[in-house]
Amino acid sequence: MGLAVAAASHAIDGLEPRDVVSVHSESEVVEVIRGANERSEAIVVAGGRTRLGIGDPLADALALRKQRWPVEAGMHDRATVGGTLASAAGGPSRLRYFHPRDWVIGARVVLGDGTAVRSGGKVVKNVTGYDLTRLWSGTFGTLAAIVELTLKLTAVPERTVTLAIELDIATALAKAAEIHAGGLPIDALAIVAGDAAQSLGARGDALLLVRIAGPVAAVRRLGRALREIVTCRDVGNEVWERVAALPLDSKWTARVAWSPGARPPLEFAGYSAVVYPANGAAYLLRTIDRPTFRRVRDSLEALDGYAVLERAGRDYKREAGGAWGKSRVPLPIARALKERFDPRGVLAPGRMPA
Amino acid sequence: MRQLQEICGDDNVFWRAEDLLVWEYDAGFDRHPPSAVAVPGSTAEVAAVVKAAHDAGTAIVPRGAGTGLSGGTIACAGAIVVSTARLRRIVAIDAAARMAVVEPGVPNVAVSAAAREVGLFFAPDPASQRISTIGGNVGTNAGGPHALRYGSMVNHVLGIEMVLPNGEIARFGGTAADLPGYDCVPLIVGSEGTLGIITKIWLRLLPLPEDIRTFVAIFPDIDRGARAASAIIAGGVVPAAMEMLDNVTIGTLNAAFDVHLPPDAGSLLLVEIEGLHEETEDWAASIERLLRKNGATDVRSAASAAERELLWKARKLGYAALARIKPNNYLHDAVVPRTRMPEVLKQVNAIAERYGYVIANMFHIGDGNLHPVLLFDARTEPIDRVMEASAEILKVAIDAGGALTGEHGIGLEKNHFMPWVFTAEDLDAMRRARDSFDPDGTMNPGKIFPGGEACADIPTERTKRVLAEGMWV
Ligand SMILES: Cc1cc2nc3c(=O)[nH]c(=O)nc-3n(C[C@H](O)[C@H](O)[C@H](O)COP(=O)(O)OP(=O)(O)OC[C@H]3O[C@@H](n4cnc5c(N)ncnc54)[C@H](O)[C@@H]3O)c2cc1C
Repeated sequence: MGLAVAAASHAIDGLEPRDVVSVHSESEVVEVIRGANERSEAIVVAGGRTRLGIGDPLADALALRKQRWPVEAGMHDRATVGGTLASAAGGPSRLRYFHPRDWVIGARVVLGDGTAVRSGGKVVKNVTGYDLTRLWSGTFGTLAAIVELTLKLTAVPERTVTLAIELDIATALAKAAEIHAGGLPIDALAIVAGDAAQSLGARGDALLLVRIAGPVAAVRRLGRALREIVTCRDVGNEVWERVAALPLDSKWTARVAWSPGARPPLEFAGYSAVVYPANGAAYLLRTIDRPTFRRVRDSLEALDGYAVLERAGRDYKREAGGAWGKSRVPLPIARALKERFDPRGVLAPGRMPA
Repeated sequence: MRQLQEICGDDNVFWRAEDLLVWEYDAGFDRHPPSAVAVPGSTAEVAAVVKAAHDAGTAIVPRGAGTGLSGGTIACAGAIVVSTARLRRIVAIDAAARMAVVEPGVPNVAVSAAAREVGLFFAPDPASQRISTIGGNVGTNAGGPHALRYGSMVNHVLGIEMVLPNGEIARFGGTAADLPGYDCVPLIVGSEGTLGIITKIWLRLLPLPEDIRTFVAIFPDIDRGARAASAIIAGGVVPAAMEMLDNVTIGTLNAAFDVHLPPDAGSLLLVEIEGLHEETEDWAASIERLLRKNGATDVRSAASAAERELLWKARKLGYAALARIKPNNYLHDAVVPRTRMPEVLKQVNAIAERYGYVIANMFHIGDGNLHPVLLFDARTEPIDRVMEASAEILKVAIDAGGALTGEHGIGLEKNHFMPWVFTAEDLDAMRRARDSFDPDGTMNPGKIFPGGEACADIPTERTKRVLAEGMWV
């Protein structure tokens, strides 16, 4: 299993952990968390570059059986399955395969009070009690430390092809909308803009990337259909790893979202970003001044969207009004969940709005 | 009562014994009358009803169409029923966002029909879809044949508006994905009315597939059909749906519908694939090869959309048609790992035979979701014995590494069996989640969790407790 548990005096930004503990079994996790409860310490759970990695070890093992876990979270060589679920990581695979939690059917976790519990099971369809497995998704290790996951897999498609074209951002958005509205089964759709596009070798303003996958004949036909909309060329599928990693490589990253039916309420022109237009989501990659960020956040929140600071300095976050912006869970419920699953508040205190 | 009438109007509150008769049962086996029924006409009215009940310390049972099969809507402990029958508006269909916003009382099939007009469809298709409501589908995390490819309700619910047990209106999720804060949507889906009353739902819609192909494969026995199904799954092609019908079911469908299935077939697989023409072409070839290789004596494909619809109509109304054989039936919907399917089916049928019941198997074999229907006549045969045989079947599924229920829910029917699969700590973790929403335990008490006394006066309750303990693992 292998996950690293870092003990920190406080969980927020930039503070050095006092101690870093590597654990290799569920019982060790239980021990560390119980200890933290006794000493009133805080713990931040971190995935390691270990066997839980979605990256190469898992992918290789599955590839032998022509299977895969269809979740692309970026940093393929380092991201862990547990971290991917706990952070509800977004990425190119969201278009066709939706949320990472839909590819997890069972979990073992250790709650904040040190109780080890199991949820779900080994079957793909299961309504035996509450779906706690999915509840853990996106909780960033604040309710429980994930120690084991049972994954749902899917077959590797016979062929996968990525098509790309350089366009100005407005045209790229319009073309992406046209492709999506056509209803063809597109495997991934992204626009990389500004400096980020240039880092992928583009000379123009934006790079529109489309991935198609399936039986050979289907991919051929999809390619033809796409070329009727835009004249795009074949590029290697590896580009997606770099696209997914861009938000993690950046010093400053804001994840923004809006209703996928609406036009993105932002001007991306000349700005470094990864946009997933059909999902109504984008990662902003170049720092903007705080008042501007607040304005962006306000306008998105007014449209039922949000702007979350995924990577930014502590001061920036504070002055921008916090990492999360307006919480969308009723606070009494968020607090009650935190108090009941982590009664002494040892798991990453302050990390989630509660 | 006066309060309820003031909130909902006199015509929308029922309390006379004769009026309550129709509210004392659902499609499961247990019965118990509520103390009253309120049918609010808006979210605000739902909130007012819940607030009034909460202040009075009265328990509440949310209810959609009452087609639930695990007693989720049975009101015990003096509870009132809150029905969503008047909350039936489709609020919006947003084609660009591929999303529908609906009230909880909307029947499942109405969403599909509205979506179709803009070239989209709503994937969850429980066999009860003409009647069952979206609110109930969310409550049970309903599946259906096409859950094989598209997943159950939880894969398709983007947001929920819910009246909390204290009467406050709260919203979870919505149009944008991954909103800041804990994502309670997948916890609420499948919570069987124990966390609040859902008053609005944001649903995901999908583009209609370009091509659909439906196959009927005939097998001399159940075993070969089950092996063929396992081989298809192992082969990597995921059909949109894959259903098994056994000989008893085939006979019933032939009698009830104009389907002309081979009456002497031991089993039949109904396999559907969806996608681009090029995809279905490719998959059809490999599926047909696997079906024949694993013993199919005949593989036919539906020649037209009308023929396909007839097959599905027969499949979906088949459960009701079983009443032609015996007036009553009892069914569980345990799930088994797909690799264990052939051996589990043998054991299931052996149990039915040992007890002397006619058994009809008509189920979602693609995702391992059994529906062994034991047929009997409640006027002459004791229910206890049917429950005992069914519990043995459940046990076989659990021993094979399976789950108690794949889509019907735990409700009142299987709560005592929960310790077969979960430890006290596991169940306590679920309770922590419930208590975060409902610290006073007034929402649908007596459901999901074992050990409660709320429904102890239901006649079958004792039998279930004995069976659960007798087969304790
Ligand atoms: C012939 C037949 C075929 C069936 N086929 C299938 C099938 O293929 N797949 C499948 O999954 N199920 C199937 N079912 C079971 C049943 O139809 C489903 O469980 C369905 O989702 C129940 O919907 P309903 O509106 O009838 O809900 P109800 O039975 O009224 O309620 C079900 C549960 O949801 C809760 N609930 C209802 N509305 C709300 C709300 N607004 N807020 C909070 N909680 C609520 C209730 O408290 C209860 O616990 C079938 C049933 C029958 C009779």
